[in-house]
Formats: sequence, structure tokens, C-alpha cells
Amino acid sequence: MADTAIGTADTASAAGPAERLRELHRAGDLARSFATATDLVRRIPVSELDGVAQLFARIDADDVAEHHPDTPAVSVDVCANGTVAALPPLLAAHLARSGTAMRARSIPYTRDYSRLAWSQPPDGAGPSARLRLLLLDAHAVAEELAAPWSVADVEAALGDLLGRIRDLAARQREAPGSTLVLNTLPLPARLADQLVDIRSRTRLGIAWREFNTELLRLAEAGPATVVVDTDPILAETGPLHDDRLACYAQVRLGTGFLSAYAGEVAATVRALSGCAKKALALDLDGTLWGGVLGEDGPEGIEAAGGSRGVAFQEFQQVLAQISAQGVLLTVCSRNESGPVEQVLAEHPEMVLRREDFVAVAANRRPKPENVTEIARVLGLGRDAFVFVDDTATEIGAMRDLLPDVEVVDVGGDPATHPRRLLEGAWFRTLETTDDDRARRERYRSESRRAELRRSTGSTDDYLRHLGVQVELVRPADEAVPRLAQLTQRTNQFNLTTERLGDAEVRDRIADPAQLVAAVRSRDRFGEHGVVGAVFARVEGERLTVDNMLLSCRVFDRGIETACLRHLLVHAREHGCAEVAGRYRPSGRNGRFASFYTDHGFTAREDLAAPDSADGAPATRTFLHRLRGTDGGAPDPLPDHPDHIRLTMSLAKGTAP
Amino acid sequence: MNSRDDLLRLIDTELALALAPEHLDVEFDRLDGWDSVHLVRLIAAVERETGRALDVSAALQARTLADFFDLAAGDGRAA
Repeated sequence: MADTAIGTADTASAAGPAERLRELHRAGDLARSFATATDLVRRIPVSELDGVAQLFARIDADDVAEHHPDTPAVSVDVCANGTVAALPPLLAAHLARSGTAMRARSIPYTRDYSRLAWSQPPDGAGPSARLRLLLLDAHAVAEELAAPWSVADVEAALGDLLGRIRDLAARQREAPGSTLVLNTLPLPARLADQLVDIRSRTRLGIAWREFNTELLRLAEAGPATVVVDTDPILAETGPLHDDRLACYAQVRLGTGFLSAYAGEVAATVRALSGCAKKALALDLDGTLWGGVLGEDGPEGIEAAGGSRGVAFQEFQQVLAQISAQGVLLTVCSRNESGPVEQVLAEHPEMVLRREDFVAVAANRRPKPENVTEIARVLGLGRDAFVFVDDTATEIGAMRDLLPDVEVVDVGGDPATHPRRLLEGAWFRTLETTDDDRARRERYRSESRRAELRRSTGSTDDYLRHLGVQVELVRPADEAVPRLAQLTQRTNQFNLTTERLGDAEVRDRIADPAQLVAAVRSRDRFGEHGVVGAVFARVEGERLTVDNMLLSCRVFDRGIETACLRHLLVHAREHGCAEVAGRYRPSGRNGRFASFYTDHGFTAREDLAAPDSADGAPATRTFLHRLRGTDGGAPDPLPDHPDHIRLTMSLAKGTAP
Repeated sequence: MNSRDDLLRLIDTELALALAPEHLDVEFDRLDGWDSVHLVRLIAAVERETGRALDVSAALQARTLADFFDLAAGDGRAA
């Protein structure tokens, strides 16, 4: 909902999402602001959901319906043989992540499953509107055993339990309007370890797996019954419970297990109601491969080679796997499209190829605009998209500006990219069809017909939202290594490609005739640190900018324009008559060949350095007159981009 | 967790229950919004916070939050 985006942006405070949810709760506003609450809870990692689950347990679905009649709600009957009081809050929080409100009822447990007092669905209700959870732990078997017991006793108890569950599932098929959710039984060490001989332990393992396999078969019969396979949950969480709480309070399934189970139930709800996401919008640098294509070049990125290449290779394999099942892959990158197309077509290490993507948006526009455009071209809603990026600014901006797009943050080690992508289960459906598998081809031809338009402009809304702050400062000593690194690693916005070492940078800072400025930047989503530099020197009344650099992480925000304008102002205030800028083409910095002329400078061929003997391209010089000569006006200053707050402190001895 | 205020703060963040000091002496079955799972959650939270193990069976016997506090603060300090 649009009002969420604006609300989120306007009320953005230092408080994290969990604290802001608590504020809403204290004000009694969670139901009224359910859209905001869902937006906030999606910003909390799944692993930390337990911390806010209690808040969602208090939300009254009727209140939500009153304020947001369009919000889907699901009714859940919870029946468990142990204490699972922690489940409803966790389930409410997981469902809120997919924008669904919950009505939960606790159903008393009895061994006789034919007498479970499930609530009756209203006539004509769909299967997605009402779930019946029968959540069992191993005690359902253990309570049937008299000490001392044998494996044969366990086999008998399992058989009896299976019979009761089968009857329940059969009755469920006759009861449309709801879905029965069962689960495979975790095998606790406590049970297996009470058998001392290996042969018996083996037989117990077989009997237990056969029981669980038969349970899973119940879900094969049709969608009226779903079985949550707890093996993957157990592999990711643990231990199953705290012995003391299990013994004294019958809490035999711990919070970690219950949270993951709740996530599976929420994914089931999405699958039943057809709310699975359909497409991925993927960042490239740091997400699909290691390194920065614009800086490192196609040969410098890590797609399989290099120390972390294997992690990106595995991530691409995971993407290929879900793509084969009908999830559409698209690219949403700030790289230029030429090099991107080249890598997708030719890079020897890439698992994913150009034909795996139904749309590639590689341009300088803000990513929210690109996702909107991709959605339009593919004829999908924005809420069908999952956006994957490793940069806090891109993630934050997407969340704030397009709250209907799901966001996956892969800001950590690339080895964890697959987990981050998959843990939300955003693509869960009831089944995939041939049509799903053919979808990619259909959409690819679609998007070919409507190529994404390219533009060099950035949206004012986006930039205003970012709240860009820039500092132009005389570098402190600790910034020296970073400045040297910028000269060595930056290739695109590096106007003369002059590489400097630490000592050279330090000398220039110390030289009273030189002006060295570090460009620091931050925005509402975080601190970027030193992202650029200016190296200039004063000769009489002229300030010559020997080189200017900017990291491609902060392109297209007007930072270079703001810096140049303030440099000109600074020079004027310190009595300079003109500023000269130098540009030497390098093969990588062509995008900024007209940087100076775009900002009111005039090319001066008379000042150009001759081509060097080795055929290296000549350095060109551009002039900006700060004073009018012969009654003429001075050259106009470039406009300060009004979305940027810039502070400058270049105070230093004699040079400006 | 050294004071009753610490406990009230923990109850607010962990259980989303805003209780006042006088609620600490109200028996659980008469305490508005209280349910048995809260005690289980509180036990886990206090153990996380203090890094010490509680006597869980005794804690589950608590009739009021004051009882629980005495036990959690250890050494039967005066309530």
C-alpha cells in the first residue's frame, strides 16, 4: 500500500524495526497500522522473529479487518499433544510477513482423533482460509509404551498412531473448506539412546522412517492434507527442546523448532492461496558474482574462480534450480548494460547465461524504478517480485519506496546467499506444472518485444528519499590508505587514472601548494565512508584539478556535481580567477569524458598535452572562468543538486 | 536482573505486557492478560539474560511474579 511507503519514509527514525513495532503495540495501533506492521516485521531476520512474536499474538484479526477490509486473514486451529503456547505468536508473526492476519483457536488434544473439536468452516470457504494443525511430537508414541519396552512395542505404537492419523486424513477429504496440516515425527535422541544394542537401534530407525514416509504419503493424495517434513527443520535448528521445560511443562518442541514450523505453515498458506512470488530481481556485483564489474572488469569478477568464487557458483546453481521450476530471473543492476551483456554471454565461469534471464535492467536508474519497469514489461504485479541485493542503501530504498516488493538481504558472506534466499520460502506453491516450466520462454519473448528503456536521469523522489549527505574534507591521516586505494582501484570515475601510493598521497596532503580533498558520503541507510577524492594544485590564480575520483557505489546521486560546484566556490572565495580540470581517456572512464563540459567548463585545446611517444592518449584540459574577462560574465556555476546536504572544511595553510 | 524494575522491563520486552509494580503481587489467575506460557517464556528469558540456570520446576510453581522474582534473583532475597 502506497501510504505505508510514505509513512515509513516520513517516520524513519533511528529506532530499529523491532522497537518501532513495540511503539505501535504500546500505542495500541498494531491492528490499525497492520500494513506498517507487516512492512516492519519483514525487515526483521527470520531467526530473530521470536523477539517480536508476542506483539503479533495480541493483534485482533477483526480489528485488522475493520481498518483494512482487503487484508487476507486465515483461521488456524491448533491442536498439539504437548505445550505449544509459543506457536500462535510465532505463526502470527510469520503470517504477518506475508501480509496475512490470523485468528487462532486452541483445540484440546485427545488420543481419539475422531473426536477432535475442530471449528467448522463456513459454507463455501476456500481451503486456504482455514487450517487445522495437528502438531505431534514423539510423546504421542512414547506415552503408549510401558517400561520396559522393545522395538516391537514402538512398532506397534507407531502403527496404531498411523491408523488414527489415516482416519483423520480420510475424514478431512470429506470436509472441504479447510486444510489439515500434519508433521513428520522428530526422532528424539532420548528414545533411540535408551536402546543399547545397535541392531535394535537400527530397527527403531527403520520403523520410525517408515511411519514418517507413510505420513508423507497422506499428502500425496491431494491438497486437503499437507505434511510438514520436519527433517530439514531439525537440520537447521536444535536442540529440539530444553529437558527441564519438556519434563515439567510439557514443552517438548522448543522455540527454534516452532518458529521454523510456523514458517512452513505460513508458506503453506501462501501456496494454498496462490500468493507465491513469481520473479526475482537480482543485483549483480556482490550478489551474483564477487567484485565490481565496472571496476574489476569481466576478467576480475569472481563467478567461480578466486577465493570466494565457489560460493557465487553455488548461489547461481540454486537460482538455476528454482528458475527451472518457473521462477522468473531478472537482473536489476547499476552496471552499464554493455559489460553486463558481455559477461552473461561470454564469461566462462557463469552458471547462469543470458537466456536464463527474462529481463535485464542494467542502467543508471534507481532500482525501484527498474523493478517497476520490469514488472510492467512482464505484466506482473510488483508484489510478485523478490529483490535480492547486498547493499544496505539499495535494500533500504527498495523497502521504503516499494514496500510491496519482497526484499532479501544478502549482505553477508556469499556462502550464505542460498540460505538467505531460500529461508523465506517465498516461492512455495502446491505443485509446478509444465506450464510453469515453460514460463521462462514465454516471458523472454515478451520482454524482448518491450526492451527496458534506458535513461540517465535519476528520480527526484528516490534521491530525496535517500537523504544524501556529503562532506568535502581535508583528509585525516587515517584516510590516506583509502585515498591511495581509490586511485589504484577506481577505473570509471577516475578522470586521469593517476595511481598513487600511500606516501605520494601523504606528500600531497602535506604540500602547501596542493589541495587534497576526501569525499565522504552517507545516506539514511548507512555510512559509505570515503567514496571519492580531489587532487588539485594552485599555480598563481589558477586551481588545477589534477584528478577527481568517485567510487561507482555512489554514482548517479549528483555527488560529483555537488563536489565540483563547491570546489569552484571554494576556489573563488580564495581568490582564484579560474579552475582547470584534466581528463585523460583510459578505455574505462569514457562515461565521464564530458564531465567538465557538462559542468560549464570549456575545452582548451591549446592547453592539451601532446600525445606521448608511446601512443598513450593525450590529457585534455578544460577551463572554468570564475571572473569575467574583458567585461564578459564568468562561466555559470553548476547548480547544487537540492537533494544533497554538503558540508565542506578544507581549511589549510596558504592554498585554498 | 537485580531489581523488580528489571523484571518489569523484561516482561515488557519479552511478553509485550506493560505491568506496574503492584501487579507483581497479584496471583497469576487474577492477573489480566497472564497465561501460563508467559512463565515458561520468562524463565528462558531470565536464563538468557543472567547466564545462570534457574530451578525450573520451582519457578513453574510460582503463584505471583514476586515469587518468581525471589527465585530468579536467587538466595531468597527479601521481596
